[in-house]
Amino acid sequence: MSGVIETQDLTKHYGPVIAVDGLTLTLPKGEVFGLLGPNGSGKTTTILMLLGLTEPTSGTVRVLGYDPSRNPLQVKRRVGYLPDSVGFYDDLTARENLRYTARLNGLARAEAEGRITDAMARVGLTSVADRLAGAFSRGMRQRLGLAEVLLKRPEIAILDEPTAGLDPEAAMEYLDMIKDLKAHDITVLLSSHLLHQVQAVCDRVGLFHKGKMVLEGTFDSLADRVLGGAYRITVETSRPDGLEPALRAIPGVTNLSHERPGQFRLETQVDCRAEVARRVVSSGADLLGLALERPSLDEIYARYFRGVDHEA
Amino acid sequence: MKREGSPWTGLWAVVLKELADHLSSVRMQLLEFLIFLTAFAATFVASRQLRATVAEDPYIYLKLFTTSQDPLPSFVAFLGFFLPLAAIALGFDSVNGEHNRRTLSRVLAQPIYRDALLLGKFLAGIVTLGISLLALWLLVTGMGLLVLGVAPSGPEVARGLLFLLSTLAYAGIWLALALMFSVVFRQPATSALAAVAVLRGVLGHHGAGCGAGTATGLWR
Repeated sequence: MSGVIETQDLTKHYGPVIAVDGLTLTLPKGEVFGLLGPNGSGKTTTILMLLGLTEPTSGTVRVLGYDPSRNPLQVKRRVGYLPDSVGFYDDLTARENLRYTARLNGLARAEAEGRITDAMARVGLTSVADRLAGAFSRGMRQRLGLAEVLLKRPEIAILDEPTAGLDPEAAMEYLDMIKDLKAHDITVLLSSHLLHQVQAVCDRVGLFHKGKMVLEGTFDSLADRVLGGAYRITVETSRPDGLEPALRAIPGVTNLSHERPGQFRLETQVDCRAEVARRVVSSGADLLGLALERPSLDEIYARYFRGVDHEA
Repeated sequence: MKREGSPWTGLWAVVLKELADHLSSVRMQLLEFLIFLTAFAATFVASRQLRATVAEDPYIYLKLFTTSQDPLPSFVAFLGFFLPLAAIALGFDSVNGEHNRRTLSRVLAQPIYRDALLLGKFLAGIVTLGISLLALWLLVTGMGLLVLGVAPSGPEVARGLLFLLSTLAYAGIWLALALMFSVVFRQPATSALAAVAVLRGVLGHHGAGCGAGTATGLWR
């Protein structure tokens, strides 16, 4: 047992519906783990079981060594949770909202005030701390939610869809704050369906599909496994005829497709741009363009589920 | 499976928060207004009938509470349907309201059990009702003093306090019912209607029309 979060064959049924199916997951301390998947794939249910807010049908959970369904208070004292589309009491100010949370956590008054001021400053809400939460925008609400998590000085932060509904700039700022959590030695579990954002902050990701974690690993290893290669090279030439076999024969190339006449797209395991250029030129064609790109998590995801659906 | 840790952890935090909410709410101001009207009406009705017989009647304050004159009901009869209504008004949206404002999961993610949240809400409601009821009783007794010019005797005060306690228990049942409906139904309007429907079933035709109207009015 080495992880701060460990689950073994975790399963949850809601009547005939299987929300989570045999989830086994270990999160080492200090990691940022992304729980990815479409809505309704079991991410939130998993989180609720980690917090002891719902009981697993079968399987075991350990959070910081505690069983959340037996000892939820110990778990919830050490774990900060930001729910999906978090709400606050509209008729209280931001500070009063956090004060309630502090009191629920049993913090002494002086200690609480200090922590609240501190947490507000870290999420950049100091100037609006005494405004009514009802007047807050979606972005400010999410920040206030993060301040609430920080207030508890948690060992683990669980964030459910933290960037959903934020504009791109706000989302980037938010992701920076999540990175900051990692710097403070907080283990982060975040769920999202916005893959490209998650890609930027997560050390490791798990892809959920119909209650099962179908893929798990670092981003590079997923790209290797699903796309057969982590690189993508786009080649543009003047005379593409007869070039295809030569390109396919390059070591490391796993797939080749036509984008449009004169343009090829290669998926490769290594960066073999030099070899591609050499072959194009030696075939007598002009090389008009050569570009390398890393595939995004979105593609891995789309590709994987296309495969799954074909099988089904 | 046995759970560890006291189910009442955080209870006081919930009680204080809910109590502060109740006491500063528009709903409470409306209740206070109703209290004043009720007290005034009750004293007015009773005093007109009682003034003649004040001197020789040993149960004068009992009469003050129970005398009715068409079309106004007696103070006790009025309490019989005013208190359930107040209790329903305080309780019908307490859990589903939090769910709809998305504050519920945030609160439950703090180190408290659901028990503490529910009991805390109940206690805050009963304290609020207790304060209203006490104010009402003191107002009526005070007005009685002014109008009738006779001070209540010791036994009469004791009877009054007992009456107060049992009325509070009665209001508590309605508060608990409203709270339960607020857990069962997702929509506050549905839970208010369900509670008022039960009220109508229990009290009969008389209270229902006013009940529905007032509950709707009290709902923000």
